[in-house]
Amino acid sequence: MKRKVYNEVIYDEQTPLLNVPELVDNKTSNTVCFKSKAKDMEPINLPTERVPDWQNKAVELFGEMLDKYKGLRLFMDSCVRCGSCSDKCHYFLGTGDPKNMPVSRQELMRSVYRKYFTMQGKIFKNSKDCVAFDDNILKDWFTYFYQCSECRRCCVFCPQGIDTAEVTMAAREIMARLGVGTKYVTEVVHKVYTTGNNLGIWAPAWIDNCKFLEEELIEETGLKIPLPVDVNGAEVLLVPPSADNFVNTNTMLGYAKMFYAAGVSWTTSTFCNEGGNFGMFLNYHNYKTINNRILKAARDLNVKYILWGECGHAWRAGYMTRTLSGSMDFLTVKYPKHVCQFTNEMIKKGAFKLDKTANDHLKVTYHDPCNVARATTGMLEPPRDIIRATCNNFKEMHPDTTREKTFCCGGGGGMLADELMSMRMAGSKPRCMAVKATGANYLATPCAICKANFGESLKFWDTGAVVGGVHDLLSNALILNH
Amino acid sequence: MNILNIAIYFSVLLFLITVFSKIIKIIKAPLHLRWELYPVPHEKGKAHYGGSRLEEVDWWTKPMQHDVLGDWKIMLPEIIFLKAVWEHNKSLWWGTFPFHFALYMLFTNVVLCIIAALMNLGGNTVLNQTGGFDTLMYWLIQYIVWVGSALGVLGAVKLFSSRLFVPGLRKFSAASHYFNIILIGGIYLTAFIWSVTDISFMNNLIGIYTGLITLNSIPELPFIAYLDVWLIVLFLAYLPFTHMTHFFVKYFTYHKIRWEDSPNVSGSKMQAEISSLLNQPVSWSAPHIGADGRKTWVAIASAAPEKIKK
Repeated sequence: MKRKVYNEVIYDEQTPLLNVPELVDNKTSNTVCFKSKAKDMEPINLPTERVPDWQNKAVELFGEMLDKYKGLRLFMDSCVRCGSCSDKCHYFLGTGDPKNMPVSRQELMRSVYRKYFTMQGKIFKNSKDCVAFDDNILKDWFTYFYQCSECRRCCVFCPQGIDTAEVTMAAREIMARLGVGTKYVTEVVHKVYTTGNNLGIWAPAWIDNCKFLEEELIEETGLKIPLPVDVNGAEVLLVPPSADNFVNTNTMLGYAKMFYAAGVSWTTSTFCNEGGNFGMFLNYHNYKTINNRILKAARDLNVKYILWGECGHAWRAGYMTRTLSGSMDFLTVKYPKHVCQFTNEMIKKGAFKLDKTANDHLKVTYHDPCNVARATTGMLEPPRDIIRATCNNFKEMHPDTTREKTFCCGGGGGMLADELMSMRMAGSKPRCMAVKATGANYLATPCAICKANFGESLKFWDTGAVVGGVHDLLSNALILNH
Repeated sequence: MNILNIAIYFSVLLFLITVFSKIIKIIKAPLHLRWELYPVPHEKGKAHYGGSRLEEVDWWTKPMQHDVLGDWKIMLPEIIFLKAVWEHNKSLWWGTFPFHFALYMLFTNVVLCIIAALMNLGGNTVLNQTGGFDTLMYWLIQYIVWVGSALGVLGAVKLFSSRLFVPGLRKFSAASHYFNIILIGGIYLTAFIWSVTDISFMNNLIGIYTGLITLNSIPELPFIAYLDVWLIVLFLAYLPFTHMTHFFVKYFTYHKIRWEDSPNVSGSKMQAEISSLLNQPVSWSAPHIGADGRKTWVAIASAAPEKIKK
């Protein structure tokens, strides 16, 4: 058996790290999201049921999008089906369903494109390559475009530069505007408009959680370290994933300690206490509308700048703020900034006293969230720098699975739904195998969705590791002045 | 002029007009959403490890370091040797590389043949082979046809059989793929047979170009040569309507989408362009958007959803 060594870890080439599975037709065709409910669709400006004449409407919408989205038209026109992407998708590697090969996933849309928008479709109307938009194809769209986490890994390997994520987004946009959405995604978007965050935490509960965490900090450090809410005139507006307030509280404690040690005033907003933007997984309209809320919160609270918390797709949307929502010129820092950049800057300035031995019980490895690494801003080193500054035992995973080649956790792109649990576990397999191979007992990652999925999948794949944030490590290592 | 002349002019014109109109359409399409994919090879000091200047604190205050050769270091091996297919689907590369390299060789030959035809018109025909430049041209053209068409045939056979027999590849191969391989493979095959069976091959080949340049009829050709030229006519007229347009689309997918990382900074041309896009009236057809043809994107996206407002 061929073996290779990386970072003192021996990899069998036959381990299930990147092996191409056997093809099983339609293996995941029954793993389908629950359909959206009218109570969630109506408030987010989407049709509550399939619009009349939906087949023709879909073609009309498709045509509109081809004219508006440069990328979509190019991606429809240029695939040569060379197969370079076919074994790069974590869902395909985890399931073996050929429709989870990125090329096949795109083909679900491209076959419709050929039918209505190409010469081929006009001449060979009944060709197998040209598919009419009907119930069957809509079912496949609903199934397989919601089995894509929009992680953009396949695009890294595509010789033509085709981005399946954008194809998926376009398909979801069309479906949403026809009145076809998933319960999980539309419910989350609805919650943002009503409560300000994805988890549906109402303002009093958010404030209460912050008070609870402050008490935790007093107990742990003996210090009154604040977790401020709705403070007008604070220097920083932090837009964390709401899960940090409710589930990944060690990360929230890490932020609080970090700001305290840095002497920077900060606040969260009960109007917009969510960096995550599930509009990105649904349609552009909600994507923009949700993003605008962050700027509104910043204006209302008169902060100097905004920091995005540890959340992958929040950062992908956040980084786009100047494009999605226009100018940020009313702020002192006019560009989006990530909390890891800020913390790293402070560490490099020598603002913190750190005791790395506080994390000696941990063997740490780092998972690049797709949206922080390749898909937005290429932010690879700042989180690693923080880990190096706070831990003695840090080991990278196999290079075929990190940085721009990182694997999705398996739960991104609006796929964290309970009914997709089997897909989530299957999609998480390549990453979990790489974690297992390092022997790490702590998987650090600055992404709430990754944390949520790894919370299950690291156990499912028997890795022996637990997942946590980057600021959790900082929290352990920070020495605070009394 | 005979019908073949007219068909050649028509196919070349159709090819050029269609390709250029598609390029113009792509250029005129609205700005692509600002999300480049990392690594971006022209980011100096960053591309080698996949990172970006956006990792830097306050990156907007620092000058953008541009590696002018960065993109080319990736694109040249990609264009010439199809490096990404070599790295990510090696078994297909053994077919697709000779298949494409043969196209490059035969395109080079078109340029050489035009030069030879012009020399011919200037009274210095390469057919004389006086031992100088004309001889070099003569054998260059001859060898490129032999090697290029033979490579092309081998590539076409390998590609066709891979698409047919490799289960993973067959899954997503369409009828048009097989047709394209047969068409282009047919061009290579007929070119090869013509070049090795026609004793006046070079005379005929240069004669075609001379006839086309001078608007005169092309010479009488053997059947296999007619077949080759007609296949090329069909190929040129057909290509711009297929996914084979990837030969120019790829420029845009890489340079205008995947690696387009020009920052949207205050006061920049890009900011002005984005602002004008955000201020466009929305005319989308879905009723839930609430577009009336007058409201702008900003107005619509900034408004809270109807239900919440109530």
